[in-house]
Amino acid sequence: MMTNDKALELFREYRRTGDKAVRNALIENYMYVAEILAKKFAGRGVDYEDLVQIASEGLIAGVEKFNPDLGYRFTTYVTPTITGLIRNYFRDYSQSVRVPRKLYALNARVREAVDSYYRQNGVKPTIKQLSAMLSESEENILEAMECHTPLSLDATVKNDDGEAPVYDFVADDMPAFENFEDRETLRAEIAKLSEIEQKVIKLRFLQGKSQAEVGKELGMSQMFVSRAEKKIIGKLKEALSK
Amino acid sequence: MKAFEIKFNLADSEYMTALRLAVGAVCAVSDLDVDAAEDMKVCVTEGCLILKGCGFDSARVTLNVDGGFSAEIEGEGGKIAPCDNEFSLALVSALVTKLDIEREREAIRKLIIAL
Repeated sequence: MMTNDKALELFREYRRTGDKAVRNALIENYMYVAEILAKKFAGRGVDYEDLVQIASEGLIAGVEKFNPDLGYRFTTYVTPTITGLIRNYFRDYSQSVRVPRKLYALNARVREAVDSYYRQNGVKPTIKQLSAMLSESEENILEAMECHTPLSLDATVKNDDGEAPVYDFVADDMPAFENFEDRETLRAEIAKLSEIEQKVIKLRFLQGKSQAEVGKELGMSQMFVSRAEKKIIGKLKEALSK
Repeated sequence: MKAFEIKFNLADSEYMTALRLAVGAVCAVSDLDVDAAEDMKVCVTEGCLILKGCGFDSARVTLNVDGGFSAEIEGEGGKIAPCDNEFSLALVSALVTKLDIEREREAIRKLIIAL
């Protein structure tokens, strides 16, 4: 890593000459800032690689705009820019993904892993072991364990006549055929999307790849995939609400 | 004032997870939204890391939930010395609306943050 004085010298040179090689050297030197900040926001339901991509874009913008003669360090200048971009991303992302659903899914995986470990070893696993088994942070495991498990509609509850399934007591405001219609509408709407949008759907939602991975596969930036995803979800939501 | 207090040894880095969980839990009962709770977790743990960098042995974290959410993170014990916290402070400042710092022999001894 270069010294602060050397970096300031390069910033002055870049502002004077616009030399892309100088800019790239500065970006490489400060890439650790993007990585550290991405790590600080990891575990909130967005892939780390996606966060690094977003942070890197903030870093590049910061390098382009930083004035070394204003008297403060580049890290102090760029941190709020990167943090702001990441927070905006979370704000937009949370509109399309429900974090609690992710926790419920992890809760089910935790219970399954506990049962499987108990069957094999005769004792229950520790949080650390569960974390290693499921490749999730200990914190996520603990949070998922705190999630109340949703009750199955097939579970039975007691009533005056003995026992009956829960679904007998739930108002049926979404008949099954309506779900079927939704699925058919969705299928028809997906067929209307462009080839590239269909590929994004396939890679993101069927194969579960991160935005960065999808971008790499399709030769696009993560931000492009993010925007495409938002556009696609908007189109599908609109079609389903008709 | 309604407050929740935690004290732990900064050398036990695995307690950072316990601290994050406790902060998250207090945020949850205070009706903070998910993003605000996550930001608070980052700021409180970053504050503890600053104190650790300044040489404190332990940290006392007080979460105040009356009239908004705020946290006081104070270092105790140890051989304190000033250290470079510019990056960490920039991160915390970017996430909260208020950041006050108290120093002892130029080292940061206490951070008070509020959302």
